[in-house]
Amino acid sequence: MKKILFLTFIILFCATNANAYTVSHTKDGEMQQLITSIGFKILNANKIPYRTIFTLSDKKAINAVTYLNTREIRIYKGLLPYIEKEDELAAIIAHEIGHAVESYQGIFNGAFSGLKMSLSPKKYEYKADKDGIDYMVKAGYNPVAMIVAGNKIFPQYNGDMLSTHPLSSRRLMTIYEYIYNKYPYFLANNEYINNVYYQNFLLTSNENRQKLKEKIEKKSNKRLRYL
Amino acid sequence: MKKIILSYLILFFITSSAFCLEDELINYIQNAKKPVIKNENIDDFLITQDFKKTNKNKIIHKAHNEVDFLVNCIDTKIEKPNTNLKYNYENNQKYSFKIQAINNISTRNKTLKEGQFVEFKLLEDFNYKNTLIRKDAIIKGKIENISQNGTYGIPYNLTISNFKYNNIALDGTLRIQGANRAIWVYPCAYLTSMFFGMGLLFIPIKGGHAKLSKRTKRTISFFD
Repeated sequence: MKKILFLTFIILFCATNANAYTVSHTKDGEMQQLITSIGFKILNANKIPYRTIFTLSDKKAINAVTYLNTREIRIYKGLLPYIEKEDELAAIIAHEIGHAVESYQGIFNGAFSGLKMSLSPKKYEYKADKDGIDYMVKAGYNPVAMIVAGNKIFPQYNGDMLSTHPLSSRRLMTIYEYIYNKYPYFLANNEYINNVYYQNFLLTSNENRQKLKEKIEKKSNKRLRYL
Repeated sequence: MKKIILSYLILFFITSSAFCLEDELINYIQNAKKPVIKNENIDDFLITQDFKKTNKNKIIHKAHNEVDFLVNCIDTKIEKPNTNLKYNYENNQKYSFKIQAINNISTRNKTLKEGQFVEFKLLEDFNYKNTLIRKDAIIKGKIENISQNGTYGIPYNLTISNFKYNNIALDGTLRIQGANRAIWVYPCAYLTSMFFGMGLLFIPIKGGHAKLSKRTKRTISFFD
């Protein structure tokens, strides 16, 4: 009798655990799978020979981070309500992959990469944006989504003197200029032209785009300082 | 012992059945007919018909879309960029080719810009997928990313990839880094910061330009 009761107890216990797993698997699991599949699609399409993993974090902050010692990219749950299309999520992941790839560069397999990134963080943010655009294009995503996602989530500070990240309007315009120079196809056939967030970017970047227009017309090579 | 296990089991069954009941209730709620809500506009009583007539232009406004005026200025050839989604990395073979820049490449040169092609000379015969590329052949490489120098002596970075010989695309990336002054700037800044914050003086020191001399020989390796 004891044995039967004990066995029933074990079976019931296992069954409840299995149920609990299935329930948790439906929501976060699907999102985790989407993040991982986008991440690995970008890694494979760009032949990136460095190992990186992708995880979904419970944190409510609107952020995504790359852990340089473990090469782990974490997407915070707080970011997800701002994402509408796969392209936008791919933009965030591609930017973080840019940081992860950078973490492998340098001596001792990039052991000091964290230090160099903390010494001049703005430079590496711009670099990760540009690398991210290249990665997106190779993986079949629309790079204009980086502007759309950025316009929704980047806060606009008064200046960037003491900030680790570049001024958002400047950063978005640099992304725009990079797409303009390297992948004009996506601007000439812009599927985001009627998107409300992209329209807002056009509205808020009028002065900056005017500067770029003058630069193009004068065929100048001067580096522009955007507002 | 028997009693404890038995009471645990009974408790377990009671609670699990409670869950079932709850689930049934949820199903019941979900299957129940939802009340139909008519989407009726409620008039703002302050805006009378006369007000609408007199202020017609103020109330009705067209949705206005911004135009991207820069699109008309695109002077480069508009081509859909290639993707790499049909890959199979099962039988990858390693290839290496040795190159030398035809002209000096430097980020100090203001005409250098992203997307531009630069030329290299092949230094040794290179056999790629049964195609022999002879020594001295001209190989073009695309400037992918120019990353500016930063504070604390962080240097410029230049990335060249998408190599091409006629119509043959060659993988591999050439990364060029300028003089890394962070090696001495950071320790100096850290140590002198103890003396009345003197370390702050070192922060604006920037790193060197990324250069590739036409004498430098570089080997590019890739798997394909």
